[in-house]
Amino acid sequence: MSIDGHVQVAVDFNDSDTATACDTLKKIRLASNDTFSTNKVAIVTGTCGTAAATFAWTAPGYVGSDGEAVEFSSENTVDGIAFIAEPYGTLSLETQAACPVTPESKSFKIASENGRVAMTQLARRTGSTLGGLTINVFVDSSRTQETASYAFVMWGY
Amino acid sequence: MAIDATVNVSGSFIDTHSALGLDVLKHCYLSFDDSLSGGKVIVVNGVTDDSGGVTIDPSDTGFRNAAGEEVSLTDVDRILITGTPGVTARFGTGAVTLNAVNGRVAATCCIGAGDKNVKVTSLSGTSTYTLLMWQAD
Repeated sequence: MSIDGHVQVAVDFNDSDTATACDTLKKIRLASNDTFSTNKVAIVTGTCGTAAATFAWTAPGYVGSDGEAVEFSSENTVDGIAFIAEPYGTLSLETQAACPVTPESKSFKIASENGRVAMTQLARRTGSTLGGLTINVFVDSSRTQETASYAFVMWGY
Repeated sequence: MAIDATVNVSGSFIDTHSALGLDVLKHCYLSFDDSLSGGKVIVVNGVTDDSGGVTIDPSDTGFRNAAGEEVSLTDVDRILITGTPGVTARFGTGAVTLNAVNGRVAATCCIGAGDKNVKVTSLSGTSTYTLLMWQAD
């Protein structure tokens, strides 16, 4: 099995102002473009509520083109996750509660609203073991609608 | 002053397998295009570390818009960040937390309780970062 992957993010803001005899344009662009091969990818879709749908970090339950379950190593071999939810949802590693910042990049918590893609990366580093952890997908309790449709894609090696 | 923006995110993964005279192709394509009109945007860049990091208050960054006025956000609806070699950005008191490594852009909507500050911490040593925060009208 082989994977050819491509992830692109591009954001362009045009901030313009018109005053007497003076037009001003401030342009902001933030973009990245990644391609990779011989990696792994897993895709998961479903619905969730305020109680989290949970998935094992190493085996989220996706079958690759070779008919085998896609499994990531207990070391951190996931490079990134993209997440989409309607009307809104949150995807986090291990916790639904407040997520601490750890210098080991072992935590993240991203949110999507109205189908907007949220995306985070994870640093490759020896000893950054995420194997026993669980992915949680849920609707934040601050929101009124209690169910959401979601999809997430994990990629790595 | 007027803000117009586009946000484009796409991911394409072609998963192929060949064995015993069998060729299998699975293609996952993820795409999202958004047009934003109005609202306010702030961009902050700098250097952060892996101990205290830096805390950015979106109501007081010193960023100026095209009209030369200081921009102050009362809330943040979306953040995007990039960093080298790697950074973590936490919005609020843990409402959302995301990582950006090797100059790649990470993005999230901001859902959840907490203050509106963004804390940017390096994953190791020191890192440079660029943080974009957007507030809808």
